[in-house]
Formats: sequence, C-alpha cells, structure tokens
Amino acid sequence: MGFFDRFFGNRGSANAAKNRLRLALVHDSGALAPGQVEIIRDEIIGVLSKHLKIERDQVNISLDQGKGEVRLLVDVPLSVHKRAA
Amino acid sequence: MQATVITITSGKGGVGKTTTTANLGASLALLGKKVVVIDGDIGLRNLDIVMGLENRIVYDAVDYVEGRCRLRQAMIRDKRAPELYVMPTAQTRDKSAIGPAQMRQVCDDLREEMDYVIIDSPAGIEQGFQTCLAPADRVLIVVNAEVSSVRDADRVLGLIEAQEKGPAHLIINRLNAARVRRQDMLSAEDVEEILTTEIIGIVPEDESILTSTNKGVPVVLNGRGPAANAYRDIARRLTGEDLPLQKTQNASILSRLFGRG
Repeated sequence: MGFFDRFFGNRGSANAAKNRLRLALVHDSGALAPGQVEIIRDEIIGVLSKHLKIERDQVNISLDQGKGEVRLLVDVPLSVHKRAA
Repeated sequence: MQATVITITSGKGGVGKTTTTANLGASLALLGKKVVVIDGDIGLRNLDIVMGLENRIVYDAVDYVEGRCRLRQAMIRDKRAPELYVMPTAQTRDKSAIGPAQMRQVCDDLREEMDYVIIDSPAGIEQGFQTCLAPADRVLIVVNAEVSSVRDADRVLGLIEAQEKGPAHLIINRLNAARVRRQDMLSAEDVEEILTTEIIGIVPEDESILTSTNKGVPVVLNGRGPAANAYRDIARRLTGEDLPLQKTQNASILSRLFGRG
C-alpha cells in the first residue's frame, strides 16, 4: 500500500470504473442486454450442476477487453472435497 | 489551398469542447496556419465569449447561410494571432437554421481560403451534432476520464463510424495525474483501451484554464502552463508532426516524490 493509499484511501476506484464501463458499453452495443448476465449465469449453473459439483455462489461472469475484442469470461469453481482415507 | 475540416465533439456536455476548440484554433494559427473556428451550437453560443470576442459580433453563421451577409462579414478576426477567425453562431434562432447541407456549404466556401476549419459541436447526438459531423474530414472527441463521459464518447464513436467519418481521435481532457497514480481516476491508457480509439493528446487539469476563460484569452495565447503546452502539442500533431504523447503529465513535485507508477 502506497503513501497516498494510506492517507486518502479509495484504492482502486479507477478499476471499478473500468470494469463497470466495459460492461455498460457491451450493454449499450446491444450485444448483451442488462440482466442477461444473470440469466446466463443461472443457465450455466443448471447445465454444469448436472455433471459436476460446483460452488454455485462463486460462479463469476466478467468481460475481458483486448485489442479490438471483448470476451465473456465464466469462472466456475468446482467443489473438491478431500478424498476419504 | 484546401482546408482540413476538424469537428470537435464529445457526446457529454461540459467536458471542454469549446475550450479545446478555442485553444487548438489559436495554436494552429500561431503555427502560421490560416484558421477559422466555427461555433456549431446554435442557440447556446459560447465560443465567442470563451475567446473574448463577444462584443465584436455583427453577423453570424446563420446570417451568412440565409444570405444576409458575405462570408468575411460572418467571421471575426482575432488579432492576437496572424490569421485566426471566429464564426459565431446565432443565439436567438432555432437549431434547424443550419442543417448538414448548409454546414457542408459553409465549409466548402471556407476551404479555398483556409488551412483549417474547426467546428465546435454541441453536446448530444441529435441534429446539431449530425450537422457538425457532416463536413468533417477529421473528428476529435474530447473525453474526461470519468464513467459518464467515456460512455457517451463510445456512443458518439459508434455514430461517427456509421457515418464513415472515422477513425476519430481522443483528447483526454482534465486528466489529474496524481489521482491516476493513486488509482483513483481512469488513466489515459484505460480510456484508450476501453474505447479502442487512439489518443491524439492529453490535457492535464490546469487552474489556468478557468482564469484565462474568465478573461476571454485562450491559454495558448497567454503563455505556458501544462494545459497550454498540451494544446500546442495537439496542434502540432494535427499538422502531421510526430510528437510522442506524455502520458504522465501534470505530476506535481509532491506526487512525484510520493506517488507510484
């Protein structure tokens, strides 16, 4: 943590702005309606749950922007329990 | 001579279009170019007062379009630069007084006499914006490193692309380098990446803008300072000079000592 962070706090509000903007711009472009992410999340959880044990609460959907492309990232943590002895 | 028509726009209001227009116009004129800046915001005219020429208006762009005066009469000569002219707009007429065809005609009439025609577009994406976009050879989008400005810039970029007026370039205005360093403000690079549009200039936040606007003197006519230097650099880039961008301008001594990055 740097000097300014300790004195002024607010670390990373720029990062929040960046992430919110990326999603808003994808919404604005009409490629993905607001609220659709939640529907997609529920459906993905539904499909994957048939085959895998997953951490339902931790499924994260985000957007990643590279040079001239935007990708939808779906992060699904699996429930892995220790093997019985 | 065949002028380049540059339209300055933004989508969102209040991000610094008029100040940018005044300073780029004056900078280009100081480089020896023949420049006219046109106020494209009918009914909300401001370029005249920002440039300190509000008391010299006799005729305006609408008078010219409607045949009440000659081209030269609708242009105020700014004597602080060798060849700088301001074409004010009408304050009392409705917005439909000049449409895309008329604006194209005004610019065509100016092309023979000028090196640069710079149009200060109104905020928004309505008719006034479309009118100012119509004659553009180049489009510059003024954007603040802040969510609503960036989002509106994205909308405008889409419309510019649809009209095949691109590629537009970004002017990141009022950047506060200390806040960027604290990760409390989007960086110029963040904005460039989010909008996938190249930056032509970064203008640091600078108190001298308000004081010079109060006096009606564009900062570039008034001396040095970070914003004035940034505008001069953009003007040189517009003439084709290859000047590197200084993405970390406006670092105060304090933030240089204590800031990171």
